[in-house]
Amino acid sequence: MTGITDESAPVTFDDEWERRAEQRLEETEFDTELGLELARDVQEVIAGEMSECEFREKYHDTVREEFGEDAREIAGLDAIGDDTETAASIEDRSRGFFEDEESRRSFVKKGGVAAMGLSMLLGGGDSPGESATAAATADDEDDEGTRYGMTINLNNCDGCLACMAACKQEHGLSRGAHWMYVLTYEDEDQADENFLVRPCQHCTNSPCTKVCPVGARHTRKEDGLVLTDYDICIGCRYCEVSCPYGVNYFQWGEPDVPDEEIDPSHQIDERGRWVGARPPKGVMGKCTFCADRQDGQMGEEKIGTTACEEACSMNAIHFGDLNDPDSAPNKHLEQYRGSQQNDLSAFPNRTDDTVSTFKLLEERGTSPNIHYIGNEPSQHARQVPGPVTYEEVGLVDNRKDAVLDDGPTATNGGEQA
Amino acid sequence: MSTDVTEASEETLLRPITSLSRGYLVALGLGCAAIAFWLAFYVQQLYHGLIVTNLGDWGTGGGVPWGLYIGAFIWWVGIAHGGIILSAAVRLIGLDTYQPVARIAELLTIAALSCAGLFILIHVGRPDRLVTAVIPAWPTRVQWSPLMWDVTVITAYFVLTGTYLMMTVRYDIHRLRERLPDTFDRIYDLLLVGYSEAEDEVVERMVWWLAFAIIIMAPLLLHGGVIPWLFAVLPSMAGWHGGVQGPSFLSIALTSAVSGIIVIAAAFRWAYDWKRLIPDEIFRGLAKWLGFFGLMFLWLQLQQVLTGIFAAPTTLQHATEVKVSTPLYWVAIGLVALALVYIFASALEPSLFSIPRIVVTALAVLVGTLIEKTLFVVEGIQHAHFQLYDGVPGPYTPSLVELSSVVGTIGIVVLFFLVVSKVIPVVELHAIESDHEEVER
Amino acid sequence: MIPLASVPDYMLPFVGPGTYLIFGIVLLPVYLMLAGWLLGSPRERTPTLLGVGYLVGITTALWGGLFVVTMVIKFAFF
Repeated sequence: MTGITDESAPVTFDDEWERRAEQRLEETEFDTELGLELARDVQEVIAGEMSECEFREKYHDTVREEFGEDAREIAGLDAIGDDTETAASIEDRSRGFFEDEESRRSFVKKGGVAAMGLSMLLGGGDSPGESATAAATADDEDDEGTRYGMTINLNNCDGCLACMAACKQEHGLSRGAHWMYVLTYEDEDQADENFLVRPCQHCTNSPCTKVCPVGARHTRKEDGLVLTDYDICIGCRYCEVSCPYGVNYFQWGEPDVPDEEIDPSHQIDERGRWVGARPPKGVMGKCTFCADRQDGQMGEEKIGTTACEEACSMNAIHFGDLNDPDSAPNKHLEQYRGSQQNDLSAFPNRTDDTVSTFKLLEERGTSPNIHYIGNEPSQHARQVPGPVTYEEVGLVDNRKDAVLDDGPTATNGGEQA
Repeated sequence: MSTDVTEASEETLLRPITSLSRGYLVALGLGCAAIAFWLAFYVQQLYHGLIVTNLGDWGTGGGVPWGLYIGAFIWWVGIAHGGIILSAAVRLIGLDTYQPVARIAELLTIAALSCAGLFILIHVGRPDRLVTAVIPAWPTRVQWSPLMWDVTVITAYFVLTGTYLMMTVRYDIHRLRERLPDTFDRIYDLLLVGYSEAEDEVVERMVWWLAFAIIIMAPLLLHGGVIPWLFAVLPSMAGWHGGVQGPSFLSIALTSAVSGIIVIAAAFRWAYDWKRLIPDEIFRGLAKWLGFFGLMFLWLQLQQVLTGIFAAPTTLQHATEVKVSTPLYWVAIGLVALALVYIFASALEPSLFSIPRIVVTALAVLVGTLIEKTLFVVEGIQHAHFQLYDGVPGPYTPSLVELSSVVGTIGIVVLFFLVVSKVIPVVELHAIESDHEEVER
Repeated sequence: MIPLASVPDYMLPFVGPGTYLIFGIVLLPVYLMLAGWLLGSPRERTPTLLGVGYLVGITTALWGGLFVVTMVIKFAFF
């Protein structure tokens, strides 16, 4: 079927088109009238009779109502906040995105906006990668919406374990449940002291969300966080065996931190689901990228931060929206590359910088969202004791030896966080 | 060629129902004791959580989150395949020789699948949510989760076998009614609801289709399908991935299934003096099948060992090296290999064959297959692709809590047979009908 | 390309691989069986209804029984 979603051909909004569009829209579960109205107004935008910002403002609330979100992103333009920006400033920024008025009009003429609007409707309101206006970002994967992740600079890490202690404190974790973990390792051909900082990777293609039989382990659509619903989890531990990284920690017995000591606002997320802080007995937990911070439960200023990032004094951990080129992780990578420039005087064809980056176990196909700066551990890398021991910061390392082997007595009157 | 057991009378057939011996009561007591032994431990686990086991988190946690519970789960599902193998042999291929043990095999399927399901209940951290979280999630989660596929297919196998049993038992109950005790009249009335002799022919056709559906689904898509796929589709564990897991698991299932039938059939034969009803020929035949399936099992182990040892990628090489240097692995392989040696020897020299010996062989195979399956699960996790952590590999030996569950489920199967054999005939009436008295299709 | 395996969530109109696997392959023998029941001869309604009744009834009894057990566990221990 051409003409409606074919991005390169110009769209003609005649009766024939309208009939077909109506047909397609009827097949979806979404409001046909809204769809047609959107499409008709797009004509006005293209004709220059309505600005894009007016168009977006006009339908922002209705679209939010219909789909739960307004994901119509024109790359380079932030999603319209409710009260934060005026139409004029948005208009300015959209003009700034295009080099001149001509290219802006020709872009729009190609029906890009119409195609995007309709494909969004027909695709059900959540279309990662389908955006007709995909533009290059610091990351070439998913370009739509928020995708939380981290840039972790292993060259800056000094193994102080402050991030681990902060995480445990913030979420009321039981001994040995290392949602954040830092290890020192030795590797063949690497004389340096090597650290690996390993939170949950919040993979885009996570095996854990696929295998969960009851849907307790899921990806939050708004921002890509991989979370566990503690009300639904049956504790089968399939997510744990499917995860290549070993980030899952099951609550084998009674938690060390009793329920009374956990603030309920840290436990319930903005959708009303219990995904925050440590899990109850018999249920699985792991790093949540501090979902309760992202939902504003700890105050506006903590949105876009994590406990580990805050605790790190070495500028190693950078959390933010990987789809946003101005976010902390992307900015840090940019700055770090800038500070490690290559000498191009003799050989101009060298790479601009000498920064090595990698993703952990990338070949496992999980599309992890932690971008590491530093040396990648090889097959032969093995953990060794670090400059700071886990005991020194009040943590136990091997949970089985230190805790679980004591059986039920381990958790009766166990250590408080 | 079919064995003529028609000399046996209806009285012989009904001996378990009409007689009550001291031995029966002893067996009943032992079965209940085994279950009580397990329950004492299970209650501890329900109260304290899974911390009472020797399981732990893999990774920094220094442990293994799946252990004997999952190994035993797979083992019981494997044993459950005996039912369809026998019924398919009899109904679809016409191997009448095995008809006397067909119903015992089907009952073993029901009992074994129940135990497998019980192991899921025992294994999960929140058994109270097993139904309330699973059922509503089924429509969406069956689209993705191999565990949900498992739940679906095991339910289907159980239901199909149960239906098969319910439908085929009607013929027997109707014809043997006067000889059956009055105590169970209500049950017999219920089993016979809507019965008329006109249905016999239709039921024969229906159960043919049931057997057909099960023989395609159970071996190829359950134990050679969704069970191995639990492991084979994951990116995390080096020793688990690959297409060989389907056939490999199936070979183990068939081996343990035939072993299970041999043990239980021999028990009934001995208990009720059924030398004529379940003659030697049946055990000789089952032994040959055990030999063949055992050979397949060893052959598929060879495939995995060779491809993992020769010039394999590092993590697979490592996982396979660990496998072949584990003494317990060779105990498992050895038990099956010895069984094979005995079976082939007695095929060549029939005087070597005896029923007690084949029963011991079958028990050895059952032990061996449980060990191999548990090692597969545990060592797979211990040698994940990601080996960086100090806590990997984490050690694991089954705790008493976990071991008690194996004892308990064996007790449940014993109890199941003791109770069921008192109510319905465990040998089909068709088996003792003289030639061609069987309803034609 | 059909983003089947690389899309973590259930996404209209694509469904997960399990849907095709279970409803297209694994349950195929069951469909064939039901066809054999309904279309073969000799044909009589009572046994066919009985068969279907057993399929539904045993499934219900299985999951109903399991539900009762889980509720007992819930009230006793959780």
